[in-house]
This record gives sequence, C-alpha cells and structure tokens, in this order.
Amino acid sequence: MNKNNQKSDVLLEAGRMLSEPSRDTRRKILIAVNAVFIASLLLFLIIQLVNFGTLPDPVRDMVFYPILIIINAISLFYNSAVLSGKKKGSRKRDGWTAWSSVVVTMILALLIVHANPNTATSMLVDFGFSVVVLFVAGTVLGRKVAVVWFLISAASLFLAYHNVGTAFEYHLLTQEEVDAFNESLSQGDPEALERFDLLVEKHLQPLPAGLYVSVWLIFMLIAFLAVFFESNMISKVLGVIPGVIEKINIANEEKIMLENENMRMGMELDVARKIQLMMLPTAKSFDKHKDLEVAARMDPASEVGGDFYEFLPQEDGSVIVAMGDVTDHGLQSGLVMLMAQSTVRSIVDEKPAQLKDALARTNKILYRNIRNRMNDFRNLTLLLAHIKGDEMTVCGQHENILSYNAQTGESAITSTEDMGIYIGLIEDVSEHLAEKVFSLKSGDIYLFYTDGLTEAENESGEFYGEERLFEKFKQLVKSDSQTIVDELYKDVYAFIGNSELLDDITLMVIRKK
Amino acid sequence: MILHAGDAKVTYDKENQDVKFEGSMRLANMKEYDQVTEFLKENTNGLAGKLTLDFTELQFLNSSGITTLSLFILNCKKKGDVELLVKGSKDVAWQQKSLANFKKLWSDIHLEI
Repeated sequence: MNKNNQKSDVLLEAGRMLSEPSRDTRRKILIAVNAVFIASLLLFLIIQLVNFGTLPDPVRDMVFYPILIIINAISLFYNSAVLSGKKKGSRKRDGWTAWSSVVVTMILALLIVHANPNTATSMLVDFGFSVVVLFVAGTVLGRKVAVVWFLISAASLFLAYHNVGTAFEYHLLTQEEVDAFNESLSQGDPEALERFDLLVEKHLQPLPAGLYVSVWLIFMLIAFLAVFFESNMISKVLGVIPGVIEKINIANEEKIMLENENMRMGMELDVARKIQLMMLPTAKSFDKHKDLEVAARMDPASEVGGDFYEFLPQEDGSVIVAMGDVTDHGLQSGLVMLMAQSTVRSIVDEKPAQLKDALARTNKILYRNIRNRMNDFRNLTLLLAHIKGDEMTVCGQHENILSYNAQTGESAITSTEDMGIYIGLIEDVSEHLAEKVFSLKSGDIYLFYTDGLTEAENESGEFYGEERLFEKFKQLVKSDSQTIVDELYKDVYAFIGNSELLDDITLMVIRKK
Repeated sequence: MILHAGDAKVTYDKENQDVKFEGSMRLANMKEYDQVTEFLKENTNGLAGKLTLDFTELQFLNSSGITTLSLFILNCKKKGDVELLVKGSKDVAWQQKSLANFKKLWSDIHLEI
C-alpha cells in the first residue's frame, strides 16, 4: 500500500468514526415512533370496543386509523430489518417510510386538535401532540420540515383558539359538583339532561381525568424515545473525538513523510536528467569530424525529457546521426530514450550502412522492452542518417528535414512521411521503412528537429510552426551551425514568451565544411 | 455522448456510429488521455459494422493523443468487429502524416481526406 492510500484510509476511518454514532439514530427514532403509534392506536380501538361494544366513528376507526397502522407497520418492519442487518436499506425506501410515517402523524396531530368531540380540550391536551411531532419531524426529516410544521401547527393552534372563542374560559368543578351533576343525569333530571345536550352541541363533553393521563403518557413516551436516541448519539460523538484526533495526527505525520518522499523523488528525477544529458554527444565529439560542422541542443520540458540525438563517427570515416522523440516526457519517457539510444548505438556500430535493418531491429527490441517489461505504450519517432562522402542516407519517419543547398542557394523542406512509422508501437515495421539519399556537398546544411520546436505555443495559443522556422532558417544559412542552433532557440523562446514549455525541444544542425 | 477533454470535444453519435473530434487536443501526458480511451471503449464496445472517426475539425493532436488513437485502431484491428472509416482534412498539419500512419497500422482502414 502506498503512502497516499494509507493517508486516505486513516482519514476515511476518522470520518467513519465521527459518522458512526449518528448512522442509525434517525432510523431508531422512526422505529420508536412507529411502534408507539401502532400500540396507541390499537389500544384506543380495543378500549372503544370494550367500552361501547362497537367502533363509534366508522370513518375514523375503520378507515383512517387502520391506514395509519398499516403505514407505520410497513415502516416499522422495514427499518427494523435494515437496523438488524437482515435487509439492505435503500435511499428511496428510507425516504418513503420516513416521509409517510411523519406526514400521517402530522395529519393525525391536526385532526385531534380540530375534530375531537371536545374541542375545548384541544388547547389543553391535544395540541401537545403537535409539539411532539415538531421534534420527531426535525430529527427524522430535518430542519426544513420542522420549520414548515412549526408554521402549520402555529396556524392550527390559532385556528383552535378562534374556534373555541377568544372569550372562552375554562371553569373547573369540584368532584362533589361533578358527582351531583352525574347523579342528576342518571335520575333523568330534565335540567341536567338539557345542560348535557347543550354541552354536546357546543363540543364540550365531559372527559375523565384518566384519558388526559393516558394521552400525556403516550406523548411523553414518543418524546422520551426521540430524546434518548438523539442524546445517545451526542455522547457517542463526544466519546470518539479523541480517537479521531489521533487519526488526524497520523494523517499529518504521513503528509510530512509524503513531502519528504516528494523531495527525494525530485532529487532522483534531477539525477535521472543529469544521466540523460550525460548520454548525449558533446560538442567535443562533433569537433572530431573533419568534414562536418555540427551543433545540437536538447531542452527538456520537464525534469526528464523524451527527446534525444546521437552522433556516432564510424571507423570508415562515415557518421551515423540519429534523432528521436519519445511520446510524453518524464521518467518513463527518459528511460525509453536511454534504451533507444543504447539500442541504436549497439546496432549501427555493427552494420552502419544498413539503416532499414537497424531501424527494424531497434523497433523490435524497443517494442518488447516497452510492452513486455515496462508494460507501457510509449513509442517514438526515430530518424537515422548515415553520412558518407557527399551523400546522406536517411531512414525513419520523423519531422520534416530542412535543408540548404549551397550551390543553388535554395532551401527546402523534405517530408519523412514515407520513410517509416512510429517505433515501438507494433512488433514489425519492416514493410513501412524506406531510405532516401540526400546530396551533401560543401556548404550544404541540414536541420533536424523534434516537434517540440514547431509546436511551441505562445500565450495566445499560437504555434511557432514550420513556416516561421523555415523563414528563420533561411535567414541563418550563412551562419555557422552553432549560431543557427542558438538563434533558433532564441527565436522560439522569444515567441513563447512567458508560456510554459510543453514539450522537449531538440535541434541538430549539420553543415558540410 | 460528449466528452470534453482540454480544449477539445469528442462526440459520439450512436445512431450513425460516428465519433467526431473537434478543437485542439493537447493533454499533458498519456495518463490524461485515459479519459479518451475510456470514452471510446465505453461507446464502441460490442459495436459491429461501420465506425467513423471524424478528425476534420480537430486542429491539433499531440504525440500522446496520436498514440492513444493508434492503440484504439490496433485494438479495433485485433477485435475485427468494425469497419473503420477515418475522415480527415488536408488543411490540418498533424493529419497529413498521422492519418496515413493509421492506415499503415491497419491497411483495411478507409481513409477519406
């Protein structure tokens, strides 16, 4: 496991620790509300049946309450199964059960305030249920729902106040007065019966104290269970904080280690760049050749480039020149470049005059190394040239070759398109390779370059381009090779201005003395 | 299906089995081209018949991008399920050489320049 993964794992664990206590709290509250609801409604229906032998309000008792019981039962079974791990929860089902349970609870809260036989007691007792629902809605469905319910229940309270009458007063009777009234009722006292009818008409039926007690007990139970699970979650969160801090400290230590690792890798890349530049031929090796004036330079885009050039004087006085451009840049491209350089060298030293064969063999070796050993898909454009006497034989597909003919005074651009294909991409490129012979007489110049030069981009996104390069080249044909290289670099850097160098730039100029 | 990759846009027209490349594609490295590889793979997986790669509106593609498309073409060649039609433009510098190379990688490609 690398450092990044370790750090990410520690932070994930810290996050998990913090979220763990609250993970099932909402579900637990919902289950408690569902259970209390079902039990209360069933109890209510049973009491009705025992007391009256029938259900007094068919719409309420045989339609609405059974629907409430079914909805709460579905939610109870689903959430219990998920909580116990017997069933896998889904966001859709979680949402459906939570919303349906809370919404029917809200409807009931509104109904018991406004549709009870004794509406005068609504503000004394029944409205307490709306307060409990406010807490349940907030914890199960969130703050926005709680705000909406607060506004609805406030409106409900004022409507109940209006319906009872703002002048309405609650008058308490002693037990003796209540007993006397009940006695008169049982004896059929007309005055008592008339008063009772009036009470029923005004929705002020007498209610036993036990009913108030049982209603408040149900409200208390729902509120208690919700508070119990919620406060339990808070204490658990407080409990895990030391562990989370420890994990964050570990992640911080790993961050410092990662920074050190980055610094070490940066140093390694710097060393790799130095090794790569060491492998390129120096000006001293160019000077050894008596007939050619050669200058070359490679500027990598990142610490390690994918470009390279080669200049290999042979025993027979001829020279092998190579220029390559590996896809991408960075350490892996630099490695492919080093492999290409050493492969080309070992093959051409053996048979310098057979460029096609050398390129085909180089391709095969690189293909096998890159694909099978590096498990990578990098490839390169590679051009080989063999300079012997007044001729230069070229093989391989690369960028166009710019040339100057000293005798005619003309400059030209020659395409290498038909001389090859990418090296290292397919196992056998023999059928795509071709050689071309160029004349190289005194004063003639050849310029090889990589696409980093023509594709150098300025701040407006404009490319340096072959046209600009060719114009500049034509202005420099009377200069020596080193000046041509220096001036072209100066020109391209002036062109890109403050833009970042996006690709390696390599140039090689060969002039026949 | 549309993929925005840097300054370029790649659109896959399912009905005509046509992948159109537009803009200028110069993603920083091979890794960044994984999104293009995935896009092509997702949309052309299991495809049979003619598949068009339309580069006429793609003004630039760097060497990492050319490698990505070369690998896609080699993969199509290996699977042998599709008949590739590659459309290009003579006026766009990178296409002259690279589209001819695609044909070298798989001679059955129909090149329309």
